[in-house]
Amino acid sequence: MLELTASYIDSLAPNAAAVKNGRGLVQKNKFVKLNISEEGNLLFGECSGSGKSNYVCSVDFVTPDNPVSRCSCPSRQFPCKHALGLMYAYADGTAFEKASVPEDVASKREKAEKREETKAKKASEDAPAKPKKVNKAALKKKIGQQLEALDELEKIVLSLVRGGLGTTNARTVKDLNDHAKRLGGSYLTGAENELRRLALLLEQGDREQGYTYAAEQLTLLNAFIKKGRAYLQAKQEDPELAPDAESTIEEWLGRAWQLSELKEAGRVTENAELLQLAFYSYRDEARKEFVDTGFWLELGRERVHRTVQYRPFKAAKHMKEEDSFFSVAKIAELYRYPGGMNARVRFEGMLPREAAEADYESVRSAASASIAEAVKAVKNQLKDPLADRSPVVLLKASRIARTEAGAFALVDESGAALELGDIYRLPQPTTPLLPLVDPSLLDDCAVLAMFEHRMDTGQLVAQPLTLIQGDRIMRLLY
Amino acid sequence: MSTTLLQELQGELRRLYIAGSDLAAEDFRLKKLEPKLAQLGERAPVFKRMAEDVAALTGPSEPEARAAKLQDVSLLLNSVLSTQGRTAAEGVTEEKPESAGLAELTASHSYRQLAEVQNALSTSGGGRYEIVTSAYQQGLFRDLRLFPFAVKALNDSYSELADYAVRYILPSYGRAIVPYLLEGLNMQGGREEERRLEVVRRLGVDPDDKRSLERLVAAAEEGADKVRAAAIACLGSHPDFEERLLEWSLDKKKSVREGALAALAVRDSSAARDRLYEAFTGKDAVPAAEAIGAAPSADMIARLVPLYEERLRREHAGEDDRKSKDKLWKELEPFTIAFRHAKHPELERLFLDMAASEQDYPSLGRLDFSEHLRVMNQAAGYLEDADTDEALAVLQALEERDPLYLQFAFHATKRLRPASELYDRYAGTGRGRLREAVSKKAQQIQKKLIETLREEVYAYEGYVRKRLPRERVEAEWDRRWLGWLIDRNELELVAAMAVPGEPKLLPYLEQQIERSSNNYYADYIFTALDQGGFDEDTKYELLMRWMERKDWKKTYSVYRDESELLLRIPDRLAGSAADRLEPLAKEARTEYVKETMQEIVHSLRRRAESAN
Repeated sequence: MLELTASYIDSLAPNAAAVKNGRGLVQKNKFVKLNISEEGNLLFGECSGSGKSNYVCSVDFVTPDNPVSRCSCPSRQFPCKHALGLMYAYADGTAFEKASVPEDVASKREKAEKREETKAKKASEDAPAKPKKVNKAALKKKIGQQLEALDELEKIVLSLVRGGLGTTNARTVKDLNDHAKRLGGSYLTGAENELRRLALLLEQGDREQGYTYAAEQLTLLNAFIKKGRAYLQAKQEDPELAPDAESTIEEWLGRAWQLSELKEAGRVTENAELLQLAFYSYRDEARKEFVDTGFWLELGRERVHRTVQYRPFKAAKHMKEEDSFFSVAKIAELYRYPGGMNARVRFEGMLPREAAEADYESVRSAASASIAEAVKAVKNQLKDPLADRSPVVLLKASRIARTEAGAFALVDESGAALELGDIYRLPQPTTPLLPLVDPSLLDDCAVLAMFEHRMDTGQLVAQPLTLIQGDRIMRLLY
Repeated sequence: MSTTLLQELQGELRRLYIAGSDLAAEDFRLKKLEPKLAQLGERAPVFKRMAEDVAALTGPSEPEARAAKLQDVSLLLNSVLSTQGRTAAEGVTEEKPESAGLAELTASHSYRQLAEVQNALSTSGGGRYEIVTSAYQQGLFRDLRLFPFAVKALNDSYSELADYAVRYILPSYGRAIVPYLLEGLNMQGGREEERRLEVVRRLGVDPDDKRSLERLVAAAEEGADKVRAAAIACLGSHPDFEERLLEWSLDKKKSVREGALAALAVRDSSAARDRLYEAFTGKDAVPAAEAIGAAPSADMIARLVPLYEERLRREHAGEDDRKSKDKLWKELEPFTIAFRHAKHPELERLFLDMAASEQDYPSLGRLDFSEHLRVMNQAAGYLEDADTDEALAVLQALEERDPLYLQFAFHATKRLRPASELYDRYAGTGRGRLREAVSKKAQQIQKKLIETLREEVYAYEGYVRKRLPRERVEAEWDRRWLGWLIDRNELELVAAMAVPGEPKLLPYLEQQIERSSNNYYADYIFTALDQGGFDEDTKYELLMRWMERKDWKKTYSVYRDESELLLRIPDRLAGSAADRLEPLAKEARTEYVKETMQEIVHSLRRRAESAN
């Protein structure tokens, strides 16, 4: 029998408005017909709309980890509010009449099945996948362009360093942005974003703080230019060289990894189970995208992964906005990107499962008992200038305490204390919420924290994202 | 490793980044660091490299190369510093983050749910009020991540939103948030702080919470004027501050006096009442009245009633000029304010007597019309709510004297007497049509009566007036009203009172359809038709006639309720409806109307087909 929870349906919805509208349809009794197939894996029905005729919609669970919604409404969102409403009605326990699968769905199912078959056939026939033919001349030309663009980038960076950040003005900002655009044209989208980020820092209202981060950004660009140049030169000499699937340099250069490439590089975990511990979304002005970020614990493997979904401002309306996810996600194939402590992961389709005792136990055991050890790992990553600047770690706390200066500290079982603060890279402070939390949560708990090194004060600060104690998860962000 | 030295170097490099690497040549501050680095370099090679780099940075070189050098030193330094970050917290106490006592708050909502509200409370623009109010109604503010935003709402640029936070959202957290609110109080602040203190006043301060009380007193003494007044107003329920309140009530600043009087009214001790009475009879009459009006205590009311009576009964000699009228009103107005929400037997006795024998109160006679009405309306309104036969009798007598007060007697009669008696009194015998036509007074009465009726049968729901549900109309109202209203051609009220079984209703509505084609009437006509219990065919026929009567050449839109009515036509009639509507649609001038009508015709046709 089909099992649907409201929170799972929420997670399928493309955005909050669709959730509201879908629920609204159920509340207003807009569904004229509610049917379920004999096998119980297809919901279908009719919903009255503002037009003359009813919308005919269905949600097909024939592949349970990837439900397919179909609807006769003109919406470009999938699932549309009608399909969502259909599922909410089911989850609410509304009576669904048994009926045979409608013809059009049956034919679509058949087609999909055939597609799968031919795909499987193809895969089995030429089992050793044809190595992709590389157009060497084109690749060479591309690399040449990239190298040239790197030289250009170095020039503009050095001239900025020579003149000093103090002399920058609106004109500099405009030049940087124009230059960034050209970088994008020369296949250096990673550099494009970072240069735009520099421009944004120079525009910032608080000049003093802006300078510190801008100087850091300049050195970062320096590291990128050097590493990128060496990497590209090596590639220019040997075009057959496979992309570096261990370090993040490809991504810095602007590569978007394809799942098949990750698979080829052996970066797939099968049958993984992830529990989301924190989620947030922010506007990245440099990328001109919304970034939905989730931190997930891989159960049993004790690693915190990151999911990242980019939604370009221009296309945000038509893309699914991710949301907090409270169940455990069962994933057939988990693709891991190259990266440090919280490497990005991706997956296509998943099945939700209610989190159980053992999962929370897993969270406890995944948490690092010693601050010193965790900090060591963090510092080890920060040493590499191109590594992620804000690693996330799960820490065990014997208590969270106040300091004399009025700040907060995490104390581990050995009595070592880690100062908690709010960091620049997160869109919202969370430490002001600590006094609001149920005090019993602050003893003997696990804390998911994001680190950041502050160049100006020489401090490594940790911002708490989530507190976990037993089966209580207190998310301070989302 | 010497982190201090590295941090120092970092500061110098940052300075150069701001000033420009061209100025690095012979930079003496950097040069000073170089030997220290070289010294450390003897033990760790990384320092040696750094010392060399710093030397190259300050030494003779091409400007480009110098810039590149700065970049390289900085890169190396940043990498080293990243491994040296201080993490240890200093001065860790045994204390937990002091609890705000809001332990029952949850964190179970998702990003999408929260972000919408958080955005609404941190941006400006339209549509935010609805988001916040509906979030509050759904209990979203029980999520602790919204609490800081609820506090932030006090400073919202849209004052309705800020007031909503004061009235509903923040008080819903309970008294526990008072210390938290006072902690964040900015004594020199403005409107936001006033609102914050208003929340504190509503919630009250725990008498054992010395810290919060101290903070309040500090705000009362040192704050900006408005903050002082708001803080003082919070102190009413704490006996310890009575002396101070009495003192403040004599302050030079008016706002401070107002705050103190408001607090004294809450205090309600005998000294407080003395002071309020004194203010009431002195120059602070209105602030004192406002204070009493907001917190009316029985003792205080009992004390004011005789004074009111005395002033009302006073015989006036001398000129009846503007000046004396104003003076009189100045004496009487504070009472109307102070008694706004008051209930007291003495007050009831006075109002009864005033309404019954107005002539015994000469002051009333000297007031201007509107002021006189205000005084009398207060008395009559009080009596209307009194729910006693005595009050009803007085109100009915008052109404006999002056139809202006008809509403009070009408509402009271409706509450206390059976529905038929209400009808008999106001519309039944003795008030025949003839008399109404001839007497001006009777016309006035009828006008007032219809106004009053409208208030009763159309209740406000939000901003929209809604007809009472049919069961209530049938249970609470005499059916004869419907006929009476039809006779008087009150379409709006006919629609409100329409119930099945009135023979005059159908002819009346038919006549209405013949007479008017304005959409304004359509709503009432078809509501009356629906409620009148007519069969489908009759309703259908009238709807068609209405459509045919319309001047389609001058029709520029098809209203939603109209198209809904058309789409509700039963299947068996859909075919003929389509036949009758189709030629009409062709007459329309605008494309929009044509299209909409065509759509309706199509869907009717389809329905007709599927029915066969």
